[in-house]
Amino acid sequence: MKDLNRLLEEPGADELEADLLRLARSEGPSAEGRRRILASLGVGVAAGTISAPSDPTPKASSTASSAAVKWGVASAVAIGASIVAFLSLQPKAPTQVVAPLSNTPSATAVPVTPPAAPVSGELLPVTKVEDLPTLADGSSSDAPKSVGAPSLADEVAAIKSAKSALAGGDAPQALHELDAYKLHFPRGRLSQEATVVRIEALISSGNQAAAGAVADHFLTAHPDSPYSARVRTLVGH
Amino acid sequence: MAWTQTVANDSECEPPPASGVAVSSDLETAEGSADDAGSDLPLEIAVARVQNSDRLRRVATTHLDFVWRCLRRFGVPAADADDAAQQVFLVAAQKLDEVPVDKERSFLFATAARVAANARRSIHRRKRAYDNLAHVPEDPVATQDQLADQLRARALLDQVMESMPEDLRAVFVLFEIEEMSVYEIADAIGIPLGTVGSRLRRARKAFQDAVARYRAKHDFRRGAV
Repeated sequence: MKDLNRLLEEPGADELEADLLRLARSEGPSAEGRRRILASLGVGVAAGTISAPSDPTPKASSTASSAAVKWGVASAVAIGASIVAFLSLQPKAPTQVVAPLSNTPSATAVPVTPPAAPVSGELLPVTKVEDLPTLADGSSSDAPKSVGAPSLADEVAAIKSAKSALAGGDAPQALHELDAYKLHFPRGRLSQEATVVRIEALISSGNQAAAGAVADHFLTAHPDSPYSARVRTLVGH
Repeated sequence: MAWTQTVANDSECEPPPASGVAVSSDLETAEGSADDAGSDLPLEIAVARVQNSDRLRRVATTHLDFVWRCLRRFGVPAADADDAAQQVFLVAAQKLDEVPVDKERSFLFATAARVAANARRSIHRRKRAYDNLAHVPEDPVATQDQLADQLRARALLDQVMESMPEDLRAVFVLFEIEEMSVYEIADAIGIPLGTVGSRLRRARKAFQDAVARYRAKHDFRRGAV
């Protein structure tokens, strides 16, 4: 089948139709929207690179038709492109720096300065010092394994265990499991998920204040998390 | 590919095929996480997001604009398009292992079509002007008149696209806006080449008729002043 011409390529194309098609081709998320979406997926990139999609969509012609002038469509297209460049070059902190999504494997989502306090989603562990495992004889099997990186499957199992305890109505056990998770996976890749379970467990155990504190910290550290709505609902924000 | 049937069957609002890449259940979950904050985001999606992070990063940065535009053209208001795009990529994160690299765009399109269908059902209709207003580019030089023109142009574009049946709209969007070839479209939607051609012709006619209707009404009003 012979490929067809696009309406925009056809000689004598209707000006208004062409303008609408140019407008449709030029649309896209705002620079801030792009940053927010990518951050929420844990694949955020530095602001300087967020406006350079490799989507091979040709941009609209710069020829301004009379209809385009009337509608301002051509200016919308041209200005839209310049806006993206403009926004990505402005030193507008804090939106210039992708919020550090701790525990996500994004190599480029790096905070400008190391946080003084952990920004991990897994916060406020309730483990007491005396509950921590000891290395009395240097051979304790309870100590975190130092050989080899823990697998994602291990993290999944740990969180599932906590969720299972919570589902069974045993919030203290769930919190204990989450403390163990925090110990074994201090930089766990599923720490956001762990924090959501922790908030649920704290609420379930009647500790609304702690749940609120954890939630506030989580929402501050991960405003774009897919769990943000869930967390807000849990604590009634 | 099973996901191509979602558009090929002209039934974005109908239950998805039971076999193959199960986009539907993920959409229900993803949608639930956004629309119903009381539901949980399954651990499986989080795991997939971590496991596929490198590929997801490439896919998301490459195709975000494409997905966003498809959502808009399928009726998702500008104010909701970011959230809907996030849903599309959350589904993609879970399914990327099953999607060949050369089918990523097709998969994303089918997913976007379904997310848009779900969004249309769940989003309360707000005034279009407000939705567009929320997405007016931050134009440092545009005058108020220019901004108003942009708003009206977007409203007209939405109106014209909404007037088009969805099966025609899919072909029109991919061909005229995303500039895919008819071969790519046939593969993406899962329909024969001949059907692509016939739908495209009907879509163009629908598009041109809608613009003509608008022009006639506009000219009539202008003449009446």
